[in-house]
Amino acid sequence: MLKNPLRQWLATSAVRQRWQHWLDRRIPVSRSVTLGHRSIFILPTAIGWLFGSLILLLLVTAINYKNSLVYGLTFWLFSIGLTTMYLTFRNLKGLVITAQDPLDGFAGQSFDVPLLLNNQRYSAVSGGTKSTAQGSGKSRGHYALWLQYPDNPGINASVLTGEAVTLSSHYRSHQRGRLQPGRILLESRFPLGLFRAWSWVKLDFNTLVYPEPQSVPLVTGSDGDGGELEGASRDVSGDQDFRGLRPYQAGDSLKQIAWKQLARGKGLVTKEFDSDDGASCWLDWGHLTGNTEYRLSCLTGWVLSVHDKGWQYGLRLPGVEIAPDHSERHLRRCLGQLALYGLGSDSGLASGLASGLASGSTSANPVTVTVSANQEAGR
Amino acid sequence: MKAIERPLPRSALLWLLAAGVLVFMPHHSHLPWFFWGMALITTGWRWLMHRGQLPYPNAKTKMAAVVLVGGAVVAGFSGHYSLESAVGFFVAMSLLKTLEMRTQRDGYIVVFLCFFLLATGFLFEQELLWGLLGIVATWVLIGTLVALQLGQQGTGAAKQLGFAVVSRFATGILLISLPLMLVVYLLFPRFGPLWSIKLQSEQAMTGLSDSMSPGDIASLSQSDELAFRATFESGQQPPRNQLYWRALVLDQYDGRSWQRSGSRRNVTWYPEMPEYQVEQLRRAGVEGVTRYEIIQEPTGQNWLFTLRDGGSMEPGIGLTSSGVLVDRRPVFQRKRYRGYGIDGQYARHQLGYVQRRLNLQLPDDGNPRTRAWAQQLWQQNPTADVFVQALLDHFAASFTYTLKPPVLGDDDIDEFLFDTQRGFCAHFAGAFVYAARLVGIPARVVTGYQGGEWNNAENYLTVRQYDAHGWAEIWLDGVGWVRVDPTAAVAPSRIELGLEQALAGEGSFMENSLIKPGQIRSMPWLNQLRLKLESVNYLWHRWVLSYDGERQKSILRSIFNRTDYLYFIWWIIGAVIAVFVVIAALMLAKGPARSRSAERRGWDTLLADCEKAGIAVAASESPLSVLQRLQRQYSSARPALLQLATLMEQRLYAAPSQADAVSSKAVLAAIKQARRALKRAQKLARK
Repeated sequence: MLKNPLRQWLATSAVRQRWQHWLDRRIPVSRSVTLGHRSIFILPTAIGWLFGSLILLLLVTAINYKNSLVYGLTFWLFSIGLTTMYLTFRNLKGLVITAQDPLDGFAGQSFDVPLLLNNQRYSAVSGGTKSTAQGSGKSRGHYALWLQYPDNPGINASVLTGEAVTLSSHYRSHQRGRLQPGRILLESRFPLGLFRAWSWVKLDFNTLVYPEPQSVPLVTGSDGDGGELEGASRDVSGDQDFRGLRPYQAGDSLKQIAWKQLARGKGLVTKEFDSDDGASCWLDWGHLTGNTEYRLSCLTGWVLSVHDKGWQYGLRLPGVEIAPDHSERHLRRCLGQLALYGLGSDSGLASGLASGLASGSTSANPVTVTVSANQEAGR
Repeated sequence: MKAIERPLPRSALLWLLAAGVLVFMPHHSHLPWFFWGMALITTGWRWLMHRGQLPYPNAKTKMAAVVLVGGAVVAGFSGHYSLESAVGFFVAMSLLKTLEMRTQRDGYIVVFLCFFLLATGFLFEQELLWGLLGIVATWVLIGTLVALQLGQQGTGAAKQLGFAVVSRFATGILLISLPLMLVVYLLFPRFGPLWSIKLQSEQAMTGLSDSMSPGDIASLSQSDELAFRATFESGQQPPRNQLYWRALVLDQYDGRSWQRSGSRRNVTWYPEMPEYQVEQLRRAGVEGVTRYEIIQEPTGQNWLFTLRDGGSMEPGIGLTSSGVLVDRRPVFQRKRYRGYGIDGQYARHQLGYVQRRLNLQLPDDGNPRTRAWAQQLWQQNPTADVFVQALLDHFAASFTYTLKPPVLGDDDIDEFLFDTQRGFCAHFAGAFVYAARLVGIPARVVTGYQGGEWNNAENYLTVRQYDAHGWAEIWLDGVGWVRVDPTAAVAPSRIELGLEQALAGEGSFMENSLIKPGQIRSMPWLNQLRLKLESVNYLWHRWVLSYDGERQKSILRSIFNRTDYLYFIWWIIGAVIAVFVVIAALMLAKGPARSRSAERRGWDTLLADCEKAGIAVAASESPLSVLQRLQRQYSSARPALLQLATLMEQRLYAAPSQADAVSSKAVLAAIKQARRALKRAQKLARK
């Protein structure tokens, strides 16, 4: 395939960059994209070209045999071809694709990226009088859509009239930070497969991708103030004191879910245990060697294992310090810091985002991480 | 690429099999019987595969099927290369492909094959019902394409997309495409074949043959197949005894059959016309000329039909020196042409030496009794017209017109004239011309059709094969060629009423057909229905099947009053461009959510003005803040801006109950004012 000089030229990085740049201007990043003439591309498919040659063949037959019925068939197919061009375009036009945040996860893991697809007329964005006025009339569905992140498995979907569809496309993220799966391909050849209409939509997600956890032997801090691991000799699991039940929060360990309650139909409930009293440690950047990503991966592994053990732990990164604590929120804050560490200009925004997310999106405290960590510690 | 490797959707398969059956039907008449078996087996096999009751054929099975089918096709057509065998081969390949298909791409290929099969089916069957079947087949095929697309469904209620959606889309697509199809159909230039097609149907076509021996025409009379339809410019039915449609002049007799001599190759092609014709047309004037239009079924021969002394003024058609019309090419497709016939006795006044010799030619011996009898009759009636009358009287006195003449021996004319005295038109015409030539009157046999059935509803004449007829023409010095129909003397009802009436007593008319036309005619309502169907069929032939360049020109002339073709090419180009523009407009049309209120548009124009003037406005800036900034910058425009600000404030922030206190018109007017004021202020500032 790469023998083709055109393809070769298209594959050069300069061309790709210009193309990406052009796309960014044409279809900007957004939480929700409504497809319209600016964002839809359309070209005949191979089948479409075959159809064109069929029409030519039929035309020659009609002319040579002077057959009116063959003429009629030929022109009907020709006309159908043109009509289909519009119908294929229309099948994408007015489709609203909205990002829905998947759960935070780890690099190297496949994300189920939920996307909300619906019809423009029925979407909350347009709302208002329009949809009621025209809702009774014919409104269109979007059929046989194909969604795919490059190099990831794709999915089929149809959005019927007035129906919103949530579906999960798959994306395997290899980079920590904010989830940015790039442009998703959204294409359709409906109704006849003669034309391919497609769009490259870039959606904005508020999901964090934590570094890929590395399991290396735990080295806890022995330096300075109270970093020493204290009294945490027990290998913890089920024999801690049961404290009570609380509603399930995203990210709770499966081991702690009260399955009996779930079976009784009382929903997802998490058992809370008293954590190891006094078991406390610091996980420190300085204890590790290697490049940044490796260190972050190791720290992530530590955070996870220590959290699982129910210890109190603090995290030290260059310029960031989170005081020891043990809670889901604390875990998320630590992981969030690891995910966004050193991601340049974005980090200010990102840390705000991280803390916002960490506090379950309820408190919008723009407090700095250390301060909030202190508060947690003092609680 | 990935779309193509998808499996064939299961729902699409049902559509595809249905389409296959439909497109196979028009081929029923010309394919050998075993094709039916093949179609049945492949369809059934594929169906069972679909149901999971049979495995998918492996490479060996496929190979065997190909060899088997290929052999059968070659054997079935015994190696002939004709339209039938080519199409048969193609049908066989399509059947095999249907059996073999398993991916979506295969599905597309089979659909396209089916479209082509449908088109080739139209080469064989073109009647109205087949046209309707074609529409249904197209619908099913388009439905198949939709089903091929819809087949793979992932999530939600969309899984259940079935017949309803597919049929709705198929119908919609066909209907939306119809107007453009009609425009292109009407306007697309119709020209001749791009190259002369070697591939012609081998199907035997009933019709006249280029020679006539006794009994030839009688066999035609058993066929009620359509020969041609004719309309007359006057809209009236000409008298039946004028409706002699000449096709062939047979002027050479070999003792057994009448044949065409070489003189038929002496053709004057339109626009050139023989001088005698021009002369005749001039003398006949407007009243003496019958103008007609013929839609002729394919004959596989190049002769056309004309009324006496007629001609045609259409390119590609010529007039032979014996006064019959010929086409440059054999008529393998239905052909429409206009012609004229000249009433009265206008003809050439001179018969050249060669022509005279030709029309007196006879074998040297044979039929001795006839020779003696003719000489004797000539002595009693020594002028041509009297002699002819005597001959006709002789026929009228003791001869019988029958479809079942006895078999004749070697001296067939002798036997006919003196022993059997029973015959069909060919016997009478042949014997008549033979006798006339014996006594030196130049004479020739003419074959063609006589009469026809007149349809009162649509005013046209239907001529069928059983209207085939043969008669004679003799040369009278000073008058020209004169038509003499000996049959008319024996059985006048054949001319006045038609063959059926002429043979009413004998009951031999169409005796081999299951339903005799007479039986239908005896039931009035059935006959009414038959005539209605005939009319519909005629309209179908006239407006659809025989729509050609000439008809196109005449329609365009009547609509646009133009004849030059270039003009219409612009129209066609214009129509296609118009369609593209409409599609583009539909594509660019902004959806409902994007539509902005009039005020919003007005405000945007004001913002655009600002931008031109170099005042940056952030998207997040409120209108009132923008207005405030403007007021500070252009103090001279302040009153207008202030007014606008007040109005907008009221408009935007008023309580819902008072929302209508300020109309959008007022706001628009204020925006206009403000823009004007701003422009003035900017000019001032520049000075």
